[in-house]
Amino acid sequence: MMRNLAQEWFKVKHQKSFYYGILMLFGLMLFTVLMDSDDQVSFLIVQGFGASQWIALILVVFSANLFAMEYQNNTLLTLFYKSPTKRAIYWAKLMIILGYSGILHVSSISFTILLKLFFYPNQYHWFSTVTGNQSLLKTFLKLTTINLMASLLMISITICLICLFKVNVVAISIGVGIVFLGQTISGGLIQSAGDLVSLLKWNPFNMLNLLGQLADPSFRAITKLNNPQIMIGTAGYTLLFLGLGYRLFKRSHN
Amino acid sequence: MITVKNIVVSFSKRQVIKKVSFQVKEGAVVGLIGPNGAGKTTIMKTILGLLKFEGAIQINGSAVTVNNHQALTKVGALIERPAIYPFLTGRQNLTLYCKNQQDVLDLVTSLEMTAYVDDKSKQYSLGMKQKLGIAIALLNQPEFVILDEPMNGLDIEATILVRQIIKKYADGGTSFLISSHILSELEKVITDVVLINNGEILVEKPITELIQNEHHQYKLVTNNLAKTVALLDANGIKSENNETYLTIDASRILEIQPIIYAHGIQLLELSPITIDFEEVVVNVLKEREVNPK
Repeated sequence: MMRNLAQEWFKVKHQKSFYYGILMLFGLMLFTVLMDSDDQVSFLIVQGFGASQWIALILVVFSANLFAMEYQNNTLLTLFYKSPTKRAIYWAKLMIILGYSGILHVSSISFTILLKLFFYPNQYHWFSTVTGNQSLLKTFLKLTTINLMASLLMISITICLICLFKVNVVAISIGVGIVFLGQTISGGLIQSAGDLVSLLKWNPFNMLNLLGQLADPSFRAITKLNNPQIMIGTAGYTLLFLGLGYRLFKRSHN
Repeated sequence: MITVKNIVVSFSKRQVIKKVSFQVKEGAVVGLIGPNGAGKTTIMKTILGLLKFEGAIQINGSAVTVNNHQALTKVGALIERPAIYPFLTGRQNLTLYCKNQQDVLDLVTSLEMTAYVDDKSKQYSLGMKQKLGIAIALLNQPEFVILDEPMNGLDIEATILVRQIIKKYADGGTSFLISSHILSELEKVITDVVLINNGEILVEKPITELIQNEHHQYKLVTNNLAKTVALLDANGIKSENNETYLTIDASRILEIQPIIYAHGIQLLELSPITIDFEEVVVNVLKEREVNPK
């Protein structure tokens, strides 16, 4: 397992996309600051200038590429026979993605502090109270931590997709579609569900509202799930997609 | 020693490998040959624990299964096409699987890759990639190496070089299982042959024995071919006159000399007609087509 982890890290650190992802996150957060109106700034700051969505997007591309390179370069075969188990390869890749997710989240904290300092130096003080009598800083850090956990769902969906299609373009396209449209699709489904609401509120796309709901309780009206339910649902689907992804990955050369 | 015993591989209930058994002894270079779709790559992948199978595979006494690759720690392979990461340099591709930089350096030098080993491998030609793939297979002093079409894309110099390296490793005790469609090239390096078709073994023997067994005919040259033909005919020995020499069946070869000497004919040449490896393989395959069992 440690050998697989070292190999995965060796490959990742030699790929430009690893560094471009962090730069892109900064660019997209800057874009959010420049494009958004001034009336929701505190909400933007606690959400790290849209970092949650941009990180999800970058993680979809990163995860898909990490698996796709093995399929495309015929290297999966070498990895399989040189590793004691296929599980070791799968978990090593997952650990690298989680590590990268951690790096992106830490970067997003630094970028948010930097951008706030540059664009709003004397407004929206970090220790000013926002929602629920909590300070701006505390809420921001809490939501970033929750997003770190919530991003696991998007990672697991992407891994499942890439192990199914083996082509990164397909997995990325569907993954990006889910990042941008998942919540809308879920909202539409639940609204038009009628008697089936109690069942359809458990659809996987609804779990993408986790961060939104924890930041803004009004989301409950859309998700029809309370906070513990949406957290359990997110964890459950994450495990389900990770398990499914592993089964598909295991059969890649059978 | 690598032992493959009664392995059966099925895809969607269709048997593609049917009770195949063979051995690769220490230092042997075994040519796994057969037509397209015969099952060569499937056998290679099965030995590498990549496909589910029935039967048994052992490498130096340790069993290989889909879930147990412990026996594969000293095995190298190049299957289908070189497994290399295009964003890494050649050296980085090698370092990924081997921490011993001396081992990497030795392979780079012996495969004459020094000039480009620090370039990104996405810039490599087909032949350069092939050499890198072979180098990856030969890393960590392997005891057993599987090479699927190793000469693909190599120029003449590189082909000779790879052949020399295979021989050097085999002399050092490494066993090889090599498949190739270029039989004339394979013939120069292998010690044994496993010929398969439709997932079944047709022949498994040393290459010298296989070619020798096919020496069914001899070439006969005398100072009077017409008289020789008549004499042989009178003694019930069939011959074919090729204008400058006669072709004689090997089974009657011992009777020929006394007959022609007794009639004062001078024997100028009596030698086996050499059949090359390609011809032998084609003959075996044709024979099996006419007579399936």
